[in-house]
Amino acid sequence: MKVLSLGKRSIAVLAAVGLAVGGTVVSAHAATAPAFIDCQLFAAGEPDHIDPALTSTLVGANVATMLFDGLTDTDASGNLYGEVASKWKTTDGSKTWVFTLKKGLKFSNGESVLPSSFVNGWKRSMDSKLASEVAYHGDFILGMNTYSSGKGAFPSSSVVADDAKMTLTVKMENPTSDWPSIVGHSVFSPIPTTMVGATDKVEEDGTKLVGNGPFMLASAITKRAGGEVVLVPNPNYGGKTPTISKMTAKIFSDTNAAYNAFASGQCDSGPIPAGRYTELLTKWGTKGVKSTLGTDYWGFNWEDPIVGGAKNKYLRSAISKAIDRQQISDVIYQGVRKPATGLLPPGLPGYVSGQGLTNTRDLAGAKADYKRWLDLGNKTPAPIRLSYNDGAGWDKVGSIIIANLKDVGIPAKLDPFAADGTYFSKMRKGQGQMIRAGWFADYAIADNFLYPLLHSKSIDGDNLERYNSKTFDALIDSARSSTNKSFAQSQYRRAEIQALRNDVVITQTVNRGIATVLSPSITTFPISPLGMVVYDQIVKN
Amino acid sequence: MFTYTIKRLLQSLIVVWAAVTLMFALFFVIPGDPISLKSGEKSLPPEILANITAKYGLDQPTYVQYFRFWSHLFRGDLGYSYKNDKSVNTILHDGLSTSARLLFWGALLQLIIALTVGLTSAIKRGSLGDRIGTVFSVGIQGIPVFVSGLLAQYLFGVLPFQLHWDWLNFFKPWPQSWHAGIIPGDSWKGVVLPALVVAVVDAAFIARMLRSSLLEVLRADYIRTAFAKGLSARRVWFHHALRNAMIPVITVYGTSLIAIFGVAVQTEKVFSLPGMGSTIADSALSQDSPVVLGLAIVVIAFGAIVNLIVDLSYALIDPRIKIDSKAVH
Repeated sequence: MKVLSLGKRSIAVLAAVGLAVGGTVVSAHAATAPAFIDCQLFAAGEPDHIDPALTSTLVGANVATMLFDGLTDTDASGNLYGEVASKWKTTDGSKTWVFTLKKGLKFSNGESVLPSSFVNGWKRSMDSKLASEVAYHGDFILGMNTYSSGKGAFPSSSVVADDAKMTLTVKMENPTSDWPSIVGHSVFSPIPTTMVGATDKVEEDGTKLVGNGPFMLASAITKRAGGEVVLVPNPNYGGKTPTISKMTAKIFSDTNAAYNAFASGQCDSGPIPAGRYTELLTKWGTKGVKSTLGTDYWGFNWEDPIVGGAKNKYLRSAISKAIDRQQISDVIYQGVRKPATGLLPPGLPGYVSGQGLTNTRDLAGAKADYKRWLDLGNKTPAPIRLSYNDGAGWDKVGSIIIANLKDVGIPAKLDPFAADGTYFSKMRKGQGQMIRAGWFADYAIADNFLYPLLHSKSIDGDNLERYNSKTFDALIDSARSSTNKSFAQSQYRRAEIQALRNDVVITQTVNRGIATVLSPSITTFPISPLGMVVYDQIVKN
Repeated sequence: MFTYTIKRLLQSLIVVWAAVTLMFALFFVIPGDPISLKSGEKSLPPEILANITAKYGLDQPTYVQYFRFWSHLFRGDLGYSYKNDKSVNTILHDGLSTSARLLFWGALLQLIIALTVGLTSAIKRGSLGDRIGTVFSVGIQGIPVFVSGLLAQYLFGVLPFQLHWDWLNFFKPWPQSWHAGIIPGDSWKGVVLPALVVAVVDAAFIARMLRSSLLEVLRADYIRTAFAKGLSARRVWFHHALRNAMIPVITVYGTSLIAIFGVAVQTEKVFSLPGMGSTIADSALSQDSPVVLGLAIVVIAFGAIVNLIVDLSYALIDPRIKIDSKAVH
């Protein structure tokens, strides 16, 4: 028997391993169809879930809203409209809402969309055993908190479906005039009977996550970098058929790689790496740029002896007036995030411009306010700490603010917190002095900003400043309990002024926005104010 | 040899147990917790946090969680990701195949590059080719993977696309399907750049090692004798010199195969490949301990097996080396 030499043996072994592990390469001409036809989404992160009952990220929610239609939704212009609901009304001053559903709508498996489909969906999404991060949105419904915390049964008397009349009646915990907007959240999606009791793994199978949206899953998904979610039009969709034949969301974990993939022809849209907004938007155009319902701001720890409380209002106002928001917008975001004039962003119903202390930098005013604060017997403080979560680029914003404050004579320094997920919990415990924060709307209502961020009942929650104002609380409480929508909106506006102008507990910097580069073949690319790409309305030549 | 192999395998099992136990303990020592990371920028109400904590069994004492982890492990169940509830077994299954393929092609390319550069440099010592090889070896090692990865994407992806040189565009998606080990159609191109980036880092080091090892062997008496006997240069180089010069190179290559895992982590990240490396990196940052622990078991076991194979291969390559099971002690 002829014995192979070392070299030949090595090659033979490598070839055998190659066949076992990696296989061999066949001809490039062995034609197979491209893996995707229309690729519109580059997700710069992993979707946690695409199941509407579970997703808590924008990426995941964007896909979920393409798979499932709720009772209502917000269009690209920010207007509320009925999706499955044809109309809605309140019978007793926003304490009870009755939705009438459109007839003839179907899930992708052919099952009819009925009021009971919503009851089934809410029973699943609010179930404590599913442990959804977004189940708390159901707390507006009478008795739902007891169910979602595992302390009681589903409040069947609060969510009543009449499939014959096609009505869904919902009783609220308190008067909630914004309920038609809130119920548009994906957690309130309907499900077919085949999904009753489905676990958190249902989405991994391409056939079991059955929705009533314009698209349906084409195959099982890979929820990780390098994976993809492929959607195809739902043949049973009751609305307008999508203009694209397939939507593939390729999941990238690196923005530069995602952009390079776009620029090398892999996809029709892609994200913009930090610091390249001007260059790439000039190159590819601005069709993919949109302001969204979010605001970045810096808050003052209300309990801090230097910057907190009523006695330090002039120091806070000096800081607020000293900040050059235009500079932050131009230098850091290259104009994609515009200077904010209040906490509530443009596009939000009831939005009024200029609710903050100042719209533009007021250096003279800042110096005057700082002098007033010193004249009250205060001494130049130790450098004020600008606290932020490290690793997300906030140090650059902080550095601009520090330079701005130096012009006034206010010493300040960066105070980074490790990017280990504990930044917000430390801020909640009052460890910050000047606190980096931001908020993106869950639904397009003022209450979604003002209550969680500044109400005293949100202390230990998202009220990172631990702001506690009876005046502010009273305004919010009166708005929440009002059945008169215009009165409620005026109360929200007054509350915003109380916090930003009278108490100066936070100072806004920029409003958030989305910037995506698009290939020239994309002529229409609608993005909703909630940051969702409306994939079914994309037009590609 | 058999006894030695069994002993080394048992040692490897102890190493895996100790390493996993240490990592398990670390997750309870380092600041932050997976649920805080899960909630992100927005706070979650206490009752929601309680639901999530109970779902993953994090409300149980540490020792209960530890024993439950091992009891599930013995049943072949590695648990579920805190991040997206995906089965760790599934993540391993998906990730392992991608990483194995990347490592295989990377290691193969590495060997080809290293042998070519190393041999050329040694045979043509002092020539332009040797100098270029030395510059290549020193230069390439200093480039971080995230730079070489992005550079490769630009040079072999973005630029060719802009110039309509599609034949040079190798920045393609990683193949989604490998039918019985066969990469369908054009999608083989998706393997080239990641494998090249994995290969070049240590290829330079191995090439230099091979060059110096060869030059040392070539000074040996038996090589002079071989030439004196009238053997062809080709036979002397490849049959006598290269074979002996490969001993230290194989040691380095074995170590490199373990180190390549680290390079693969970064490569998978830069190319967004669905491999184990990028999953480890992402999961460690988000303290997704079931995923990290599951993957750690595989990585540590891989390291132990590679070390064992390297040790055993000494005896195969050089008959003068014998493995004595008693020598382990």
